[in-house]
Amino acid sequence: MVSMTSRHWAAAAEDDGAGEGDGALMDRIARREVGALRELYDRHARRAMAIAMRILRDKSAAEDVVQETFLDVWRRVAQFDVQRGDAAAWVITIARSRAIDRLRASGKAARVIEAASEMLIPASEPLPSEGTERRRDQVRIAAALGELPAEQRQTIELAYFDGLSQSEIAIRTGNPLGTVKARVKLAMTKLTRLLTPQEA
Amino acid sequence: MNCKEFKDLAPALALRALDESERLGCENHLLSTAPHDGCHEIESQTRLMASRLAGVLPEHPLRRRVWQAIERRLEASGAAPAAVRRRRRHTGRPPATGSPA
Repeated sequence: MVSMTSRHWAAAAEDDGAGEGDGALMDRIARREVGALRELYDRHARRAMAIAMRILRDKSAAEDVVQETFLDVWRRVAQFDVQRGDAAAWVITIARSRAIDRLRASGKAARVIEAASEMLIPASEPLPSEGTERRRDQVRIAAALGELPAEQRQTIELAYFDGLSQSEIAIRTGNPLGTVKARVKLAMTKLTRLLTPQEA
Repeated sequence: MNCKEFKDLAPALALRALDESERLGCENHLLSTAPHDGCHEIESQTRLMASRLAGVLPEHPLRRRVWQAIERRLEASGAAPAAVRRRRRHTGRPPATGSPA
């Protein structure tokens, strides 16, 4: 199922008018071609910036995260394994992880716990500049999130888009930790079911 | 931690929503050489799922200086100075002389 998902996303990247696939770019980065890193940056940096901005809510800090993310890609390209996910997923995972590290190190998470989470659903309109397949994907993901019960959706948003841990979400929402854990599991299971292409 | 416990925590691991002790427990479980019951597959699947959620956000523009800073750091590290210079010759992109990001 995982490899099917990867193939689907790789195909989506090609549909996006991206030309050379991300996999080929990663091969070139492994051969130390800076131009390939620049192409990968042009494709995915804006998405990495979006998630870093959402978590950190600070433009300079988010730009630092993007910078560190692509330097990480350069340094760790040998660890990239296409069987474990495509390059876009890898970039986003690194960026989000670095943003959360920065958030937790700065102690800002406590402030976020107190703040109301900005609800993301329904998703804002995609930018016209974004590729057709990306727009379709954005609509699909928003629709899938919209199908979650409100409390599960809120839990996912606090975890993913605000970078809170389950314990912090329990404090923020006043729900028992066990309830939060159950909601995370149920929500992710449902999202996976809704967003994973089914083999014919 | 056994495989069932790992699989229960995998979605939260993918979201980076576990407390530190649970996260370390999961990572140690994945590193364990004992036979697994689909743990690595679940970890990949949930991680991919989580990364895909970022797709709901509108893309955010970046200032040119972000790439310039990356290029400057690659050069400073000696990682690929020749490649940077070669690419500049071919693309005509401006040299990375802006202020640090």
